[in-house]
Amino acid sequence: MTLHTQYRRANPRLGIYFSIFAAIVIGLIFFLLIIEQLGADELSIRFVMIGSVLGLFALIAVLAFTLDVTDFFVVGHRVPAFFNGLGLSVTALGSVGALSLTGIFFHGGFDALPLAMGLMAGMVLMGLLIAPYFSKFGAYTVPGYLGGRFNSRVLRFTFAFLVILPCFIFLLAEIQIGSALLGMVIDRSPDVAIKAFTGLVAFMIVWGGARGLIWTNGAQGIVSLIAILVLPVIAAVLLTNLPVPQITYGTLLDDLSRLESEYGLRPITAQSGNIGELLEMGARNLEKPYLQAFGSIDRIEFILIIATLMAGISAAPHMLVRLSTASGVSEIRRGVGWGALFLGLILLTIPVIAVFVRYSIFDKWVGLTPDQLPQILDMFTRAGFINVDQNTDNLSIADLEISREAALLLFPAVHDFPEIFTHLVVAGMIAMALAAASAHLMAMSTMVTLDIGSIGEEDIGHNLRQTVIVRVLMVIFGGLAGWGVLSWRIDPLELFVYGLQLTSAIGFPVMILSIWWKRFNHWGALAGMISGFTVTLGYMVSVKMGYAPELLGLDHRLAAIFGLPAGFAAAIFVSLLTPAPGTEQIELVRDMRIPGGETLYDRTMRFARLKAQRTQNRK
Amino acid sequence: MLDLKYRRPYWRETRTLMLRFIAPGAVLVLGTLLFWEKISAFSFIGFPLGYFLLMHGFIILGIVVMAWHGVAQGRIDRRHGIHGDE
Repeated sequence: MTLHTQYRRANPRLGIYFSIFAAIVIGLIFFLLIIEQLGADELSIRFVMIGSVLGLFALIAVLAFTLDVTDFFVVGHRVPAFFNGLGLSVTALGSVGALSLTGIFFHGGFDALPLAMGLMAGMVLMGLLIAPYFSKFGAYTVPGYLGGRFNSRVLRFTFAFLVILPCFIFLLAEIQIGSALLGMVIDRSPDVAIKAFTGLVAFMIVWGGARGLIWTNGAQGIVSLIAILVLPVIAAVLLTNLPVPQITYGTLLDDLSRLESEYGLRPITAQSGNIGELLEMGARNLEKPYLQAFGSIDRIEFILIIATLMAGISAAPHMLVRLSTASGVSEIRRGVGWGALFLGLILLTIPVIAVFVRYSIFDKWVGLTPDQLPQILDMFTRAGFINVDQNTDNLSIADLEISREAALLLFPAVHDFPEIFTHLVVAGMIAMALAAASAHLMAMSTMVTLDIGSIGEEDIGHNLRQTVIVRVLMVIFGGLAGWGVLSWRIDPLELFVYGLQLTSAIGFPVMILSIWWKRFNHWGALAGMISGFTVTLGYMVSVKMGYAPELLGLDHRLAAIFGLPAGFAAAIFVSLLTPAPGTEQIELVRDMRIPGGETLYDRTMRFARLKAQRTQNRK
Repeated sequence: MLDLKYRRPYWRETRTLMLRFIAPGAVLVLGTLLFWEKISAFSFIGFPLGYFLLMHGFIILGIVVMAWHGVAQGRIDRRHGIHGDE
């Protein structure tokens, strides 16, 4: 028996379009490299590099304009696996993830491992446990999936209502870091940068909705992959004479340890329950040797960090919603596979960057006078990313304060690469922030329109009016987030971790059980998500504000450790205490587990439309 | 659509496959952490072995798991005649 999907094939020329884009970016880099060597000034190179990359994104966003409703929400279910994977890996990390993770590897060394492993495990778990079934269901949003799966509008509304909070938190984090980078580039006050960046984020998706999101994310993914993956290879050949730095940077670690002890870095005393110190922001000096294991976290916390991040990434609504755009179940398996490959490459490269920057600072910068440092550092100093003590003739480690976000940005400068490469890295990070922020904004606006706003409407498909509402909401939420960033400055990584804790506690138990447990009913789902949310948020807020002591010595940034079991327990107990789901729902789960054929969401819509037509004919 | 009596074996195979692909990651992490003292005495191409296993081992395992699982699941789907691509 063969089953045909009803969807159109993907545009066969997509690969060519994106190759042209990549060629333009690479050509631009070489062009600017030549111009720089011929003596062009730093400012114009900076503006041309970042301006043209952002201009290309904007062009793609405008070209993605669509009036088709299916295109607007799910890109007509025809996005090839490669582009889904690219988008997944870039939004999983975001600029916050990439910059801060490098910084934590740079400052904390070994102790940053669980963060990287948690992200990777989340991607794999999503591919194995959730993605294929969610995409077979074919809902336009995650709450829409739950509402359809349990045939419950209350559930749909509640889930959307709860999950808006973490989405907004993620958006705040990405806008904050993106605008800090943009502010550094345009050299204006933070207010101007925040407004400009928020405008850019909304601009990326306001034309074509998900269509704009997917295609701009493809381009942004290409730029950020070039920015992260290419430079370490060049540096590795210079430093170690070996290519593939991801595998060969071990040869540098002995020298690094020797330099560290020479310059007086002593192992920090192990304290448990000190994730706060690991995630700490602001400019600080190097203190901890790279290879010291379990310095600021112990083994239990190591596993707990992996578990909460893993659950958060695999149930994140802004990632799952992308999966509905693929043309079929095997396509989505391939898509998450690409995502895991790209994410794995980035995660393997990030410690390379951290080690190289650490090594080269010891090797090249220590002992210089401040005015011998590369000129480009002025840009970072003005933006507050680094702080060099100017009153010394002999730079030591104590005179260099390097903030967490600066480690990745310093990579080209510390190796004396031409300045254009610094701008390339900045462009890549702005692209990543744009990609992640627009994914969050898209997920939020769609959820509010379809799952909260449209409650009570007859569910027979989506109309043009809804796409207009989504567009308006994008602008409103964008403005709200911009205003939020202007008013409160909270550490972006902290926000990112809070967001992941919340999505994991709200989404993970419900998503897993709704696919893998047939006895699960909508009462259980409701109880699971509400108790997960309440416990996590309650623990987070009460410990952070100092109303309650830490339980078992666990930091409030790991609140999902209590939220996840609470969510699972409530979901299972309430399900068992309330009546079993009817045959209709069991049948739905069974259909969901079988790949191939029409998505269930489209089937429901088709039936509803037929029914509506028949009643109209009868009248 | 697949008949109910064929769905059960299909789902059983899919579930076993899933468990078989999740287990190695858990074993790798827990094993490395449990025997950390013994493992960290060794080094491998310049890395301490424990660091190498958790960093490179875990992430490369993730990529391999996704690729291999995709192929194996595709084979199961094809055997049951419900592969989405055909």
